[in-house]
Amino acid sequence: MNDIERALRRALRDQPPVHADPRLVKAVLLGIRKRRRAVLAATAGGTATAAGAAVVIILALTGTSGAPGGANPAAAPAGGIPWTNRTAPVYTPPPARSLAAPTAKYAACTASDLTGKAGDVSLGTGRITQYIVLSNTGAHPCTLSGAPSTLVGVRANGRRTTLATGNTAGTQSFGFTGPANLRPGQSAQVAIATTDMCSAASTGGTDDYSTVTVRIGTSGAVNVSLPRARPLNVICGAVGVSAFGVPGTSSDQSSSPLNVLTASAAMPGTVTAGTTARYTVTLHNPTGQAVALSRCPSYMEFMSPLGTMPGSGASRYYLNCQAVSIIPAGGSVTFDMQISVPGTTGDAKYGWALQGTSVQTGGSVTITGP
Amino acid sequence: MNQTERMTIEGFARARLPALLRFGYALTGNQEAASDLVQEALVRTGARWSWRARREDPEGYTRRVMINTNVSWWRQRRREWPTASPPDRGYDMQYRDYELWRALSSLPARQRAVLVLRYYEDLSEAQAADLLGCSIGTVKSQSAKAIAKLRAILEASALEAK
Repeated sequence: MNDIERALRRALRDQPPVHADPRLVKAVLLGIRKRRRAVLAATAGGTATAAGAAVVIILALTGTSGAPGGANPAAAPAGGIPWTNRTAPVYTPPPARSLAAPTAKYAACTASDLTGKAGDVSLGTGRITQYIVLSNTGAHPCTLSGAPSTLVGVRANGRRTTLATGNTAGTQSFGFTGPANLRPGQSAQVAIATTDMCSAASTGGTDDYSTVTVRIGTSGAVNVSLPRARPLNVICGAVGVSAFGVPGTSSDQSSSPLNVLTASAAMPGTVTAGTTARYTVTLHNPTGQAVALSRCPSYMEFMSPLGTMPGSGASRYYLNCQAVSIIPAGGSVTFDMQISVPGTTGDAKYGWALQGTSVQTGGSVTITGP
Repeated sequence: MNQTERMTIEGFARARLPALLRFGYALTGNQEAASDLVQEALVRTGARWSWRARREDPEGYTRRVMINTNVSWWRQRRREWPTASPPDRGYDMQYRDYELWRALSSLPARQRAVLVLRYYEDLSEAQAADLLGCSIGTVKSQSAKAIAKLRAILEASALEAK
């Protein structure tokens, strides 16, 4: 597998956890019912149209009720930092540091050096990965190499089953770098991958293990209790176990010092098709320390009619950092914004995000004819 | 469709929705498009639910509908905006692997579906071909073309950033 294929696999599986949000699940179920009603009405010669149904569904998904933009002010407040026409490129995350594969530096860890706990769960379509965190709680540094010699699952009734022997996940790295050289207090991880792609899982079947036992070479084993709400379900049979390792460093937006800011947009409730709309974005700093815009941040904005791919045709500009270079502690700064309104009339969504950060806002708007 | 059958499709939808949404996200790179895709596919799956539940794998059918619907929507979008830039990741997206997602969004929907099935679902070429209703050779060639295009886009993007 080459570098692109590896990056592709990681990116596709590294999805935001919003998919498990019960509100979204509820909204989709509601949308299915509405869509079905619209189909039935259309079949019966009713007036419901697919486009109308789509609007209802998307509004349900966004949690907006009533007319889009209805909650917005009739006109955006004026008097913000003037907009500046300085276009920005698409944000490119800084390249991750390429680290040479580590070599074992210390004596091999034994089971008595380690304690374990359940880590994150990663949900990919067809694959569920439970991470197990193993910490060196001994007095000396040690190196955790290879993979668990066996992974045993323990059911709630105490029955034990060997789920895997050695590294059964093949060359999948799960983003780990190994072996893990652990000073006291440091942690390594091992990933347990299962699947929910089988008919038994589709019908709600379970084969749950409440505890896993990770055997470390021949030195013994570390028992890890899994949260009651998310036991290891191996109903589909296959279990992949990774080698031990330390999660790689990532250079994503999570480290941006701007992430402490919150954003809110004030867009007119109605804008005219084919024109340039003016709105404002207020950045608020809720912390006790000023946030400097020393390396002038750029933002991405879009306005997309419902029924089209939200985010299409996005524009990118820099903030007007010549006018303001700091957001004071506990303070807010309002920036004037401009955006090209699509030529399609009807309801639309807009979004605004500081590139390379988690700072974002957005809402709904109605596009009317000129 | 009687009440019992309706409850059954809703039960299926409730149980499999998170996985289907993740699949939709992988296909579209967009949360709301994924939601729309899943709704459309589940409505179609539910149209002959009792027959489908008895005769075939409902989840496999739903995923097939999602792939085909996404291809259809992609063609429609391409006709409507022939010069538009590739769909952006929504404002609610994280920016990890941004360039790769952006490159993915520029691929034809069919090629993207091949990549999703091969590198996300871990399906074999034969399984992917079966789901897509094409030959193994087509899966191989589409996959190779898609990877080559991704590489070209990412390399060009890296050069631009220098």
